[in-house]
Amino acid sequence: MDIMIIHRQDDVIHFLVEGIDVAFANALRRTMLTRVPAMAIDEVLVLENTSVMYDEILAHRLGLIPLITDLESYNLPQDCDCEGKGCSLCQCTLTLEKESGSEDVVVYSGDLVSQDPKVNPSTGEIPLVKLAPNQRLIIEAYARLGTGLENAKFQPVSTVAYKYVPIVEVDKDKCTKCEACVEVCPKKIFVIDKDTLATQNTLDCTMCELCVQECEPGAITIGSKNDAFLFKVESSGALAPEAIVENAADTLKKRIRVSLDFVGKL
Amino acid sequence: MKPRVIEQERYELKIEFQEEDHGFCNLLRKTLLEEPAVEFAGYNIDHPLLASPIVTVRTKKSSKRQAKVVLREALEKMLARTEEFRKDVNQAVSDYSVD
Repeated sequence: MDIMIIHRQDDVIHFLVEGIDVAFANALRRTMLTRVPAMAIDEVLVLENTSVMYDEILAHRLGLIPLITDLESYNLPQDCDCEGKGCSLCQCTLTLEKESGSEDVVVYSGDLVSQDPKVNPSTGEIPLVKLAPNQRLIIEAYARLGTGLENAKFQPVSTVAYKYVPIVEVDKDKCTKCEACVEVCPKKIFVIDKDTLATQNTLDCTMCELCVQECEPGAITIGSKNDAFLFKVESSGALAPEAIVENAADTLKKRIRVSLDFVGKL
Repeated sequence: MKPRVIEQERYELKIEFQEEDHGFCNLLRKTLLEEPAVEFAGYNIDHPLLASPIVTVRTKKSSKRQAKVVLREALEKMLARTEEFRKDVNQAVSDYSVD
């Protein structure tokens, strides 16, 4: 197995894995989506809401805010000693108080004040509701860990996808250097270099095969490797993207161990 | 993950993996099929809303290989691969931050 990180920036990681099959790639993808825990607001106490937005809709909007997750300090409610009743080991309280004076005011996710400095909205720029003059909002919200299996708001990823590694081949004998492919390729894979057709950044190829259609002499073939995958993991901001991948591998390992223990006893 | 035996015979095994999904079951099925002694391996999810897939594995009688042994070996293989992946990811991440 060979893993290479191609690109890593803020909340996104692109990496290439060689020597795995589709089943494993898909198991990983599904694990990242549904089994890696992340924090989200799950219960909201509305003390005062004179805005035009219904309490329920406001609560829903609060639930969808991605929170920076600290997996070390919090337990999943079902694994917690309090048996899911809610204690400081499995719950974090956030409060929101905002009043508009004589002007309109927009309430942002950044207005939430967390009891735990480590658990905060990943961005403070999400608008929640607009308050007209003399309207007020006092809210207490309880965040907890959960998994994407229960509700998509607990997903730590906004995108997790994989694709086959493309192989772009040009038959130099057939190529007439008409440059039709250079024009048509949306990813600018083809270049004319010193009078011959060359390829660049072939990993970007989306396999749309427009070049194959355009190429009159039929010099271009697009294929793919079947044991290598390009992963793209985009975090919601809850966890670092590489932490999501590592956690997914750990979670998958744990599940395999449980079934192995069970089968061992048969 | 809550496994439960549905049917057990020497050469055939049916296990229900409660709370599991395609991710795990398809991986298990593919890994089982790598073993030449396996005659049939598959899984069934009765309804898309239910999370209780039933994995079936049947080995060839001529191979004299017990289904439970083959299943255990497949799971061990999966565990080893996942561990390798975990290790390689760690390595790749630390290599990348050095660059």
